Amino acid sequence: MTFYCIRGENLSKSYRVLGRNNQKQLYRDLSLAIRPGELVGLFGQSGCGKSTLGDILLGLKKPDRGDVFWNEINISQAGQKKRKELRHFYQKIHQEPGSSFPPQQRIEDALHDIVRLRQPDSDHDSCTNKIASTIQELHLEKELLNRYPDQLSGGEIQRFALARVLLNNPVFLVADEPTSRLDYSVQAKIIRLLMQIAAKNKMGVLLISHDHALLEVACRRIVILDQKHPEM
Amino acid sequence: MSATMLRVSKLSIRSVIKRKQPVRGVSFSVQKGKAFTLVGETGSGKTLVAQAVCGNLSGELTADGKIEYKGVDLVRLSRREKRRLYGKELFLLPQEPDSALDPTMRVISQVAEVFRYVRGYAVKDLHHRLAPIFSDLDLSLSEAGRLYPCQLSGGMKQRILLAISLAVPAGFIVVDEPTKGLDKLSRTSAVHRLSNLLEKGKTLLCITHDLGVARELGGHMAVMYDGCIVESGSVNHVLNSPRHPYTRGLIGAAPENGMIPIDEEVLAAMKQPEKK
Repeated sequence: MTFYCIRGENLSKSYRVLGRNNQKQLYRDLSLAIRPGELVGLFGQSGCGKSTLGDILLGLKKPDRGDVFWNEINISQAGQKKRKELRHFYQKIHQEPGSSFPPQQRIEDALHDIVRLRQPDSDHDSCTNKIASTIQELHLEKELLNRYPDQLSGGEIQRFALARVLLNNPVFLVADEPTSRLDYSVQAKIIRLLMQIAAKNKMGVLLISHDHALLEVACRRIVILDQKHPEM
Repeated sequence: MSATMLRVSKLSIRSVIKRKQPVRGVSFSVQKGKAFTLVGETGSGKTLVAQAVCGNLSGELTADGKIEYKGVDLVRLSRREKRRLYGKELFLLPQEPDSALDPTMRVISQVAEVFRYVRGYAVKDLHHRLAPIFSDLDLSLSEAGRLYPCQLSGGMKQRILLAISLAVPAGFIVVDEPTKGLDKLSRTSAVHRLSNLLEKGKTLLCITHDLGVARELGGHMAVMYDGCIVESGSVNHVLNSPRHPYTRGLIGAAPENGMIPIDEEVLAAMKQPEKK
């Protein structure tokens, strides 16, 4: 039996259009499963529910019908405790990476907080080492750690956002348009890094994008969300 | 043979505080009725060039060199002369439409205000004069017009600014990153709208990192890196037979072309002049 790090089964989602009395159906009976280390693309136009599907898989939004399985555990039936235990293995990076960092805190302190949150008994040096090895993997320089989020370029802060996620040792990551606001040259760098890390850390990735060409390069499997007719 | 609308020669921009020169010796010229596209990655200084042309560099930055618009040097223009030119002949479509729209005013009132002051339209005519402009841009005056800027999508905000740009008789429009953050569909229509402006006889200076935009607008282009122009020429020439290794790298980094990151050695070789 194949092991999936995340699995959505027969997911349906609709929302009410404001001011009118009708429901808009995003998808019906959509099933999706991702293996560890696999990069799956999710393609669709704006407003077709790409980000919502990501949020449903991460348990941030509830589907109308259907189930989500984390490591084959049904999270809608699992207790609060079990969910909390698994929660930080399921991570997300955004289109606006700046929003993952508090503006008045240096990047280094923000990353330290994450490490201590996961390992409360770790001392300062081991935190620093762990951060150093992670950012080295992402080709970031140590000096940048002293800066505040608004002193970094778009590509740098997106890589720090990725570092922040990697410090949680995720098994699954939703990358929601991670490079749509970046230049092609920076985009190429970040997507290549993401591909390497996914393969190395055995991390499943759902890469959401409206750029089909990008997904064709990065992913072996692309899910296309067409309104009403999701096509696999 | 078309006349030269804008000629930038040996433009350098200096930062007083940081003692840096983010733009060094940039020269190019824009022909009337044609598009000129400046491409380059973030931090290459392309937006600063646009700001220098539009005369809104931030206080700590000073421009040296010449920016001639129809023979008038914009760098040495008095404030009063500037006011006569900017907004009426030169118009900037900014990168972040939010920074140009008033968040507390309905969209319709903002567009109407510009039409009233610039064109002198009477209040009672405004509705039927604005309706065709809005429908040309796929916006409905009665629905989208009644919203506040925060209720619009990025593409819609840009279209509102485009509507405003139609009010002023600007012949020269500077567009900063017209496709940033837009999805494929709205990107295509944004580029299509820019080509429409060209057909109407406007001249465009377009700042972008998207080589596809340059290809679709045609005309001439220049590639910038680290404050300098590394390659320039006609769009066909630069994109189809690039000579500089950085241009080749940039083309290869586009998702359609395999998304290969630019060789670090190429970048390192180009950074050197700064240290001298």
